[in-house]
Amino acid sequence: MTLMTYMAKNALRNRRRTALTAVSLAISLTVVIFLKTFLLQLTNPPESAKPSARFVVRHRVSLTMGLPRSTEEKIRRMEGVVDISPMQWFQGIYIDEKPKNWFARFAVDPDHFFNVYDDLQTNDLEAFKKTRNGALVGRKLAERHGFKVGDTIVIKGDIFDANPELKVVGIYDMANGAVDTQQMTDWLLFQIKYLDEMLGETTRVSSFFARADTPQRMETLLPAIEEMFRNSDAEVKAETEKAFQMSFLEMMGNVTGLINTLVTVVLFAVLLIAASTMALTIKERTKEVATLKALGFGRGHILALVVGEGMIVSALGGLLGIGGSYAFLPKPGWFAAFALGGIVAIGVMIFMMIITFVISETSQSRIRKIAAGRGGTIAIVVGLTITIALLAVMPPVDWMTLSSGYVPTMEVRKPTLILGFIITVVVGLLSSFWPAFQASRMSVLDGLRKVD
Amino acid sequence: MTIVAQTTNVSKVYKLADTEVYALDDVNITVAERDFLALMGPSGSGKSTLLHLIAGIDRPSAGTCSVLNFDLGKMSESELAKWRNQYVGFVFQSFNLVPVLSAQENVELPLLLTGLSSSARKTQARTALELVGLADRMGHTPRQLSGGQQQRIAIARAIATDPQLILCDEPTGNLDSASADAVLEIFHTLNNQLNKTIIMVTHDPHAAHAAKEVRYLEKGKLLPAGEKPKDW
Ligand SMILES: Nc1ncnc2c1ncn2[C@@H]1O[C@H](COP(=O)(O)OP(=O)(O)OP(=O)(O)O)[C@@H](O)[C@H]1O
Ligand SMILES: [Mg+2]
Repeated sequence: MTLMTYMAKNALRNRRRTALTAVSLAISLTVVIFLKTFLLQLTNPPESAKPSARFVVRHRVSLTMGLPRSTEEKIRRMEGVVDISPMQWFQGIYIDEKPKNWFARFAVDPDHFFNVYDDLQTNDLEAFKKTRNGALVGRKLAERHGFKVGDTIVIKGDIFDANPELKVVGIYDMANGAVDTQQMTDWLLFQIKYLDEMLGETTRVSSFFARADTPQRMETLLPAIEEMFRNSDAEVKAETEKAFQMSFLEMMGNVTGLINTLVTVVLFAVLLIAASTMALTIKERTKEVATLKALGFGRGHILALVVGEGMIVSALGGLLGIGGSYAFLPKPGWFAAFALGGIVAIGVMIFMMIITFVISETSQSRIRKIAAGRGGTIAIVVGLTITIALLAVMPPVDWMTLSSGYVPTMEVRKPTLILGFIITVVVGLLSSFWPAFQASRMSVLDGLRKVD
Repeated sequence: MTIVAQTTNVSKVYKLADTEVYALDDVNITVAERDFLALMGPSGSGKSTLLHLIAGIDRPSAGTCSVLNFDLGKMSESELAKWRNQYVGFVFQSFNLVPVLSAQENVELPLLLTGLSSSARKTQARTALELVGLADRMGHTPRQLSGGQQQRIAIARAIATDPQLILCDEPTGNLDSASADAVLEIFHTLNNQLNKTIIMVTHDPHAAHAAKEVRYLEKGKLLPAGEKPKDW
């Protein structure tokens, strides 16, 4: 046996209590990691090396209102604009709604698109321009689905009343040295003229993507564009590509601020739960601490034992929360299953505690005995069962679909993992330090005199 | 004669609202090597207090305690802890075993503070358990043991670091007479064959009989050798 074994055995003494603390921490961590990952993906997609001069023009009020196509030509004529292309999110369904069949589909103008996206390149541009229902697929998408030139891809429209039958005419790739920061090679592009043709009208588009000659130019260019359309029947908003991605957040109003407050509250609550649980646990062990001191354990030993125990409990929660988030966050269905499992586990635990509390200890009730002795185990088993059951029935949606393409993945990144780790350590330390300190200073005599 | 423990004019006073309680009043006692001393006396006479002072878990209001050539009054709390671990074994009335640890692990507890390797700790714990006749119960938790067995495990824990002095506060107080006999038998072996010095507080005349010498306390005063409280 080592001090470590002793700490671990101490941590598992009251399983329900330990489970409650650990699962509370795990849920808090999951919430924090989810939100941080989400914000990070929206506001700060993996940075490309070159500062982008790309910008977006859309309706001033909302993306859904759409802009007339005449907008395009007016902007193209402005000084400092390299080129501009409509970029219409088509959505639709390819084969079925399984996540693997999901990818972004954009209707674009082949004469201009690659001038705007100069970080993409293709050798098949001529074929794309010439083929009315031609489609260019990104390298990643082509590899994922085995698409080759000559293949037919049928997309069933949902937001648009049109079912394009597309012919693959080529592949596009990242230009030399460019990094694919937005899953751009996982897109399918087709001609906006073809979309117009199917709809029988020149459709309004939700956004135009354009490129300025330098990133600095956008400082004056973007306000000028907005000014040009002021008081027209379609006022526009012109913003950098990055700001456009961030504006998604603004669409959610002040949800970000609210969420951050919530995160703080959640973390504070879990800290309180952990700390009060630990205090209670150590208080119950007064006589044992006194015995240890009589055997020669010093203040430092007692401090280390208790803090170590707190760290073990929070490490369990951290492992569950960080590991679970890391594994389940990439798919919304998995994540929902994991989160619900955790919430139900907490619910069951609280229920068990209420049972233990309400039914008198002297009643010898079997239910109470089970709740007190096996409550934590039962709660964890129920939570796990729910997670596993939900995993089987969750609809196969992915984040890209859910966010209409603006949150391409929910891959948990390193800084978020480190944040989770720090929270785990801080909760472990803060929750146990005070009880540990008190235990370490407790008088041996008072402890020994305590009758148990 | 080598002196193991000696108190010089030791008093312990508790100041309550308006009175002073003398738990110990000017106690002078000398315990020699290989003594087996039983401390007896009425409840509240100061037996436990004296034992705690000798163990260095309490400090006198006046006087000095010298144990194994250490002047306890001059030592800090952490020095006393280290010293206890090395030189003193303590046995409690209510066993005080750690419920989640096996018998062997309980015995290993004080050894965790020594520099011994894990295998050396195991061997030493085993030796101690053999001495109390419970080597076959090593893996049992306290809950799976009778009171008498638990107290023998507690004795094994007290002697695990091979201390010179063993202090016990009513070690047979919670035991039936058969278990008490087993415990006293172990003390006898420790004292006679392993040359341990033992100080045992007890209420039980039968237990006291196992000791080589009995001294009485009354109202905080140590009675002269051979003297008993009046109505004892
Ligand atoms: N913390 C305290 N505050 C006040 N008085 C105390 C305190 N601790 C002990 N005493 C008093 O000191 C006296 C001696 O106590 P002690 O525990 O040494 O007695 P004892 O001989 O061991 O008795 P028992 O046989 O009942 O265990 C008692 O009168 C007790 O009330
Ligand atoms: Mg006593």
